[in-house]
Amino acid sequence: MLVFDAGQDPLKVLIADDNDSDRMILQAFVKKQGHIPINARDGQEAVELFESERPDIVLLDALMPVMDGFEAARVIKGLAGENMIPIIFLTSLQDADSLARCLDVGGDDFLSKPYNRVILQAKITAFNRMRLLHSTVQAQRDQIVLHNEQLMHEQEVAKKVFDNIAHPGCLQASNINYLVSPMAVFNGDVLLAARKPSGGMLVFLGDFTGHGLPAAIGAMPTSEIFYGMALKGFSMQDILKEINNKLKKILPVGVFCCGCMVDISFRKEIAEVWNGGLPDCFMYRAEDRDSEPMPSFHLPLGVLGGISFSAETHLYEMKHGDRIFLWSDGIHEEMDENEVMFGNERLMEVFEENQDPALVFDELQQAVRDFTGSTLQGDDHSIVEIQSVPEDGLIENVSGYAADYKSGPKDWQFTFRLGASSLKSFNPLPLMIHILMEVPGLRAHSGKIYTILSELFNNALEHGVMGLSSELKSSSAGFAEYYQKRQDFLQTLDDCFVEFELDHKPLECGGILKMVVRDSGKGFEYNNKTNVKKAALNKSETYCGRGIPLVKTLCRSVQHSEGGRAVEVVFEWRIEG
Amino acid sequence: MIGSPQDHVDSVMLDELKEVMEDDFGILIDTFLSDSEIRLVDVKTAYDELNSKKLRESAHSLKGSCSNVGAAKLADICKHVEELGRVNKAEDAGQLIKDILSEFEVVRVILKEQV
Repeated sequence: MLVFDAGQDPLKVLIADDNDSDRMILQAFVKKQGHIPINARDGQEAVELFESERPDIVLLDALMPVMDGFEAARVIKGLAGENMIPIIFLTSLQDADSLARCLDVGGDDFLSKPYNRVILQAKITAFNRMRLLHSTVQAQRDQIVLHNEQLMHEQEVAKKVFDNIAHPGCLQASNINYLVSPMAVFNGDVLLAARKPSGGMLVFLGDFTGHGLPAAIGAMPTSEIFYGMALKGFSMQDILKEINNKLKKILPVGVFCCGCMVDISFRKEIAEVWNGGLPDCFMYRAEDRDSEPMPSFHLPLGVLGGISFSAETHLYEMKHGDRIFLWSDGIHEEMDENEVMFGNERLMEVFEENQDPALVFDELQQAVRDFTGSTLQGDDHSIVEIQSVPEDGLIENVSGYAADYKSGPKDWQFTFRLGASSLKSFNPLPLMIHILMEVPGLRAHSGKIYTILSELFNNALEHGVMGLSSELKSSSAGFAEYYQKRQDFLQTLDDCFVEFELDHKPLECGGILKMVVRDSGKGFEYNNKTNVKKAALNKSETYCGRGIPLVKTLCRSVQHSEGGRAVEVVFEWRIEG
Repeated sequence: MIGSPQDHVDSVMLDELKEVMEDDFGILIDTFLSDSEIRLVDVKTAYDELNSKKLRESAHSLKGSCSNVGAAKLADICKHVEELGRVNKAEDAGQLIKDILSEFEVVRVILKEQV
């Protein structure tokens, strides 16, 4: 770091003047001020002495033999490069053209004849101050360049770590369109998408406050929690709570994450949405071209601690072909040349004028481009479109998960019995899926196993323990009533249980997983295969036929026993690929 | 008419030079005088040759060094000669050159007395 000090150290002052007496006078002036004079008789000599002596300030006579002052100034400025070497022209020239020429060739000031000692010394002092300021600025600039390089390097490293944690999940799926900057994480944006073991899809768009590394740091645990929990079949409420608690714990006050999470069930054609602080997201329906806003009902993630946080979601019907749009506030805040923001109304117009829902995503980008008059860089905003499609044919998560280990539990059994208080508030599926996924090779079947277990568990809890009738679910009004009753019942549970009995035996290339689910309910009339057939015939029954037809397609056998209080299924699997 | 030395040389400037130059003041005066003699020859030759450009340059140079030792009147005559050179009228400089030569002799005497 340079100390800013106006000339305590003596300076080397190059004096170039062909007139001996004039040079002697200048030399005496410079010496008297405590500096070191270096004498040159013409321009050529001045250039040579400049190279060998590296003076701090140069005094140049304009008119000299061999090489005049103008030429010498040009050469010296060239040799000085980035360093500031003040050149003061010595001249009795008076006409404006000559003086302008002095400045054109790189001169910084003039000193006219007769020389005045006070003025010369003041100029030397002033230029020395400027010279020091210049080197300070230069040194600081170099330091900034260095810091910037280091910052860029650190960001690249951080980006790599982030990419390893936040693998693309299923963002490549054919029903997702998105636009984010490759370095979006440093703008605070994070976009995550995962297939659920049950077949649905979870998508999260987050926008952290701030920029750079501070904004990126929160994205890492968010992504890790999201993928880890989604894989194990945790509900979006549980995932949101976990992310919220984590962010609340690690982020400083004032740093938080506006975000929107969407859980799409392609089979049931519904979307569950939680929006905390992002601008209104939209459901765009293919049939009537209606766009329904999905506003934020919550504070951003990482603001409220523990029980104050609400993971309450909103349900939206989402038929195949319907689309959900999520965006960070960047798109609203795009400005035209008059600094007017793009805003929500212009966004709405795009939906209103749309003729083909498949084109909305492109039309949105085009509208912003037309508005700002420049290309959408995706630098400051993220936008994602998710379409509801039939579940078949959607790709699974693009890996990022390590391949199964060769070792792991292969022959085992366990019984897991949940009492009333557990059933009120605890979802046992993620825990059991977690154990099952330790079986080498079984991970590839996690979706099927999750579906089977969740159907059996819900049957045992809702129909067995609570005795709810599945008939209710056949109308949409009944559907709501059913869930209300379920909710009410849960709170009154007392002295009941649901028990899982899992047994796994390895085969040469796979295994046999036997799952028994037993409940404390009244049981039901099960011994009628015709019911199952009827269920298959009656479309609405696929909703309310205790999910058994679906389970049947996935398992080798399904057997009810113990008066309908127990069901045993056998799932046989082979190692894939 | 020689008049007072103050009409020819600025004594305040001279005193200041003496102070700054200290022991070298004598050398400065000698250097100035011998230098100027060479430049006077240049000025006279340029006039003899009616070379306006050369006249302008040599008068300009002499003017500079004269002013630096406080010989204001001499510098002033040089300035007129330089101007004639600039407007291409070297032939009109005859009288001014005679003035330069005589003024220089006065200045020489005054400066010598200072050493």
